[in-house]
Amino acid sequence: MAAPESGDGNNGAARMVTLISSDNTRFEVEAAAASLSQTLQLTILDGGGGGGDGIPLPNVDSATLSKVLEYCIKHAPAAANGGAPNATAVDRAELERFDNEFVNIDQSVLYSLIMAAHNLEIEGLQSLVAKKVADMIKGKSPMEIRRTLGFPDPTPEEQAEMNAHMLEYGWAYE
Amino acid sequence: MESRGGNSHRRRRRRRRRMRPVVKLFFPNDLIAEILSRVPYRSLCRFKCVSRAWLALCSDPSVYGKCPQSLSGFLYRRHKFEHRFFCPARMCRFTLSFLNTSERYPPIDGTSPLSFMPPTHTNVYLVDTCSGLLLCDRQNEPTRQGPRYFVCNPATQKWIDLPDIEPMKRLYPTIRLGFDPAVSSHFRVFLVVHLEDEHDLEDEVTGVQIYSSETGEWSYMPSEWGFSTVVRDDSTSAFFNGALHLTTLDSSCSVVTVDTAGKTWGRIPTPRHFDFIGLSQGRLYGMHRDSEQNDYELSVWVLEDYGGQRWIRKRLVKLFGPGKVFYVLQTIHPEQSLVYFATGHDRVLMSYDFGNNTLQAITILGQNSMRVYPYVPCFSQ
Repeated sequence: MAAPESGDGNNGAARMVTLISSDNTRFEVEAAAASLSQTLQLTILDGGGGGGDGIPLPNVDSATLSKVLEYCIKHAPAAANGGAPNATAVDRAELERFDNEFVNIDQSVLYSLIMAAHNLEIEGLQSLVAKKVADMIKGKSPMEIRRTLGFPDPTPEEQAEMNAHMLEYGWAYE
Repeated sequence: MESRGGNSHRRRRRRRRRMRPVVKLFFPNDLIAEILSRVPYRSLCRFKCVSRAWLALCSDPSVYGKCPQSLSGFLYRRHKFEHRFFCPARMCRFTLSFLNTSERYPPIDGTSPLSFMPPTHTNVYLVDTCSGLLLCDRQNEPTRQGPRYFVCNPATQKWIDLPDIEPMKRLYPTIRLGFDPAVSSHFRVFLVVHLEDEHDLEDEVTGVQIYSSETGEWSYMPSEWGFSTVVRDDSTSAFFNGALHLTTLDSSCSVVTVDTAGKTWGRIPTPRHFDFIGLSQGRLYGMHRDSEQNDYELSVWVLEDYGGQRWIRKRLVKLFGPGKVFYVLQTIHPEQSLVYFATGHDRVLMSYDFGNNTLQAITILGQNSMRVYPYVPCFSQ
């Protein structure tokens, strides 16, 4: 009776698991997709998450979780092929196009997404969002970064340190 | 009670006024490190003064070592003598110059980019560059003691001598670097071994000696390229997909490959005898300069499908219109669709954009200059 642990594709119905967001929304997804998360993979291998139980994710809200799962569902088939040596160029191009679209979202969503990817240990998603965030911040000045992160304005001595740094690394400021 | 409540209320209000109306973000340090290792080096240097925590992160080799780098400039060697044809090869003196083409990096000393090396390692002949590493030959140092070759990294100012071995006794051995910091922090040096003869005239390949910076030793692998494969010092090369790619100078139109372990030997047929191969935008490009009769027409090819060995022609162009203007292909831009060549008596370095078909003059290298190598810094330890 035990459900097959690896979705071979030959079995008609793939094993499903239920994930519960912090605001108590239930998401039912294929185990293969949820297993992109290293954290969830262990629980799922132990047979958790099936039936009425569900896996509670107290750190992830429903908006973020649905976004995370959108990524996992899209990437699960390629991941199942183990890096997909037999994937065609078309498949890869399609995934790339999806990824580009996927991170084209509001900054605040991006930040909760990278936190979720970090907590759930979804490596591909984390590096995808990290790349996007890196592209967003690379042109910013140190003051702009401080403001984005909500740091208080620098104290006079911090300001003096920043000025000294600007002198030393003048070429980095143009 | 009441006054305390009032106090904390006032304090909260004051803080709110000082801060911008943004959500306060709490990222764990390892997540910030993940993000910072993906910004260009120049941004990273600027971010050092965001806060003390960011200074520590930006100064961490595991972060800045992974930063994506881009072309910072070109290294090229010069003869110290104007009359290079009257100078016996073993007596020639060389100097290395650096041409800065980017504002993104700390400036490197243009006239002595190897100033961090000991004096015994400055009169050198640059043999190859790969991902920020330089392979140099000390053959022409008059009072040379110790090994002939060394590998150095100007960004970290580290260097290492390579142990001498027998096939290096040729005047100009075919020796190349293989380094991909995204895959491994260790580099390889490939030394092509030719059929033995007294006068270094044999070009047929019998095998390859591969040096690993991990073991510090050379190991010999017999060639599987086939008997009549000819590779010489003037073959151009590219390190790509974990393998060294070299143009052949025999009658076969092909690029031969050998992986870092010396186990996998391959051959990729090419549509022309390429004068130059190089990496750009993650793909292998080949350039062919036609004969004088065809006005030195340039064709630019890209290996579109690596496994399928399919080349596609990107451009076929007479760089200077109709007319016999001679030029020598130098290198290709690692991220943009630019090829570089030198032309004219004073060797003017020019770029040709094969994306939008435009020419641009960059600088005058001078009569005594030789081949130009791209330099992309690598801060990995």
